[in-house]
Amino acid sequence: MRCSPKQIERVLKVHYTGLNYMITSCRQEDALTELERAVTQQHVIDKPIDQLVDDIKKREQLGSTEIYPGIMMPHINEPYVNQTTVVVTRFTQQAKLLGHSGIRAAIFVLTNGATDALAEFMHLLVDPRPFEYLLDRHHTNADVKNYFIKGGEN
Amino acid sequence: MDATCEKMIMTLSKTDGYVTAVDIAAKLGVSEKTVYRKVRLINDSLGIDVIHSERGRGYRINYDQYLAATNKKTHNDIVDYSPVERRNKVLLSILFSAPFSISVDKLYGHYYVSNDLIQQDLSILSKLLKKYAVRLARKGNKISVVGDEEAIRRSINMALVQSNLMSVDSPQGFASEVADINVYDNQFLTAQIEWIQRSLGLTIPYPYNVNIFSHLYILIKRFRTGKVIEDDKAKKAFANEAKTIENNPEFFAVASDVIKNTSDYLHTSLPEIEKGYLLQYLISMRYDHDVTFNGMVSDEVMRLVNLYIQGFNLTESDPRVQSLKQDLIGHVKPMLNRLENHIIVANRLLNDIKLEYGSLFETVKGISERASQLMTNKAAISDDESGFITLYFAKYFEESRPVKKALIMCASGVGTSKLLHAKVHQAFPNLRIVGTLSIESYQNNEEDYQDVDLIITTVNIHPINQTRVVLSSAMFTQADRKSVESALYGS
Repeated sequence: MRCSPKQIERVLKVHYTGLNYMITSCRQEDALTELERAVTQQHVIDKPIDQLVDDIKKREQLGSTEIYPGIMMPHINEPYVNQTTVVVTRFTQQAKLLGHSGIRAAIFVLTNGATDALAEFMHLLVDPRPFEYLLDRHHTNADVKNYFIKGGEN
Repeated sequence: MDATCEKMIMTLSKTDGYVTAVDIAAKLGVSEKTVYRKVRLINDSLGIDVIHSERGRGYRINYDQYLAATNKKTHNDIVDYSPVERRNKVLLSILFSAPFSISVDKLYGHYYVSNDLIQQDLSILSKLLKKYAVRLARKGNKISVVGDEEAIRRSINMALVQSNLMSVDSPQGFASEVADINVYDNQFLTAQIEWIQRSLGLTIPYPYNVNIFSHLYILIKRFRTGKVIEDDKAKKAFANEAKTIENNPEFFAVASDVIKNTSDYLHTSLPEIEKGYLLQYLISMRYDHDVTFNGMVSDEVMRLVNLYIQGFNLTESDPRVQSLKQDLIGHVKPMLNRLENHIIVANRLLNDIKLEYGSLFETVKGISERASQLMTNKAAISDDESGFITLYFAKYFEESRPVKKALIMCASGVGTSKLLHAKVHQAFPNLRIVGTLSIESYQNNEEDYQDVDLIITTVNIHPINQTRVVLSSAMFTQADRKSVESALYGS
């Protein structure tokens, strides 16, 4: 299912202790395009969009950001990011992303510096349960959003 | 499921991600082929694939699914006992009823097994009981046991341990495992443990609280279900306790109180030897040093403790070794009482101890075998006891490790490094993480981090000084964990 910016806007923008939070479902070829569209529309970044994708790719070349089997966490820490934002993308089927295959979800993290909210979010990911929850197709995007907002509780 | 399957489940459940068959095989001391076979066996027996495999990555367990599957299996298969479970249940029924006999039909009615299998069971039980000086007698369709009370109690204890009923972490755990402890018995037994604690002004630690609870449960059930005869042998045994009673007047007073309470609860007069039995349990527990020692440590205790210390080539003058020695004295002294009085303690952590501290445990076990030969009664020191002793050494070695400093790094200093920070801290709580930063930030301030012992990074770096670097995946897999452990403490 291809996701429209409208859908993203409707469902997903929530604030988790200072984190700008978005969750969406995508086909693999749309992942980076949708990421660009979502973040520019919400003014997370004002830079030319190519820069974001370039920086994400550069980071990935330095070392894999696969943080759980089938889940990647591409991230950038750049001054042009206006607000620390997490975009969770669930693929409708196993996808190839940034040179890695078998990817089922990506957690894009965009920030311009370390924040307590981000540290708290990372702490949540130490436990494998959020990943299992995210990968479970029985959970809707709204369920996942709610799960993360509550810091890992159903 | 056998012990290897259980160990495999335990190994996988301790890991967040995938573990390769090679790693599992090395950890469990089995071949890779066995790993494949056991994974299939576990999934087949649970009727659901709780262990997932992925080519190139290995195996991963869905622990929640495993718990749900095992729980469901327990509830659905109430009478689906393994042969060992069945024999233990039959054995306990016969022993508790002694000297009365029970019909074979009543004993085996629930199990729907053939006569041949019953004969086979009884033959195995007969051999087992022989070791405890108890004879299995059969008259027509009736089965009973013949032996003195002490031997029968010891056999019951053995059967409870074999049934894993003692592998719980509290008296309440034991009560919930044993079907026939009713709410009144539970309250009474709990009150007796509290009575002992209050009277002696201490807390009875695990596993001794479970042992005393189960001892009193056995006592109650023996008097309710069977018949306990106070013969001359029992009277003589109590007379032989005179010296122990003289040496432990405070403990004996408490034992007498509890037996009086139990006598009132059962509305029957209990033989004097019951005070002696309970006294044996009370002096076989581990207490704070000043309660048990009274400044007295026997030569035998010292000999055994020194054997363990020397077995690890530790220098006695080191204050930390002195502290370890005091801990060991506190354990070995009551352990000798347990061995002398045939009191078995189940160590529910044993599998974890073998997994976490395998080589340490093997060394302790080897020393325990030599220690048995040094003891007056040459009693064998069980794996459960060796497991407890291993923990004292594990604590000593863990505390002996110097605190090391680590730096965690990734390209940006906010993504995978933050996640890695949390995972490393969880895996190595004693490691001091002095910073989580980006490569750029590190390179700009390299001189500030000259004294770190290790850099754990998700991207390649080349520090100008000789600081050791571990390149880790963002997942911080078991292999990454091993690399960090090896870099910090050697392989």
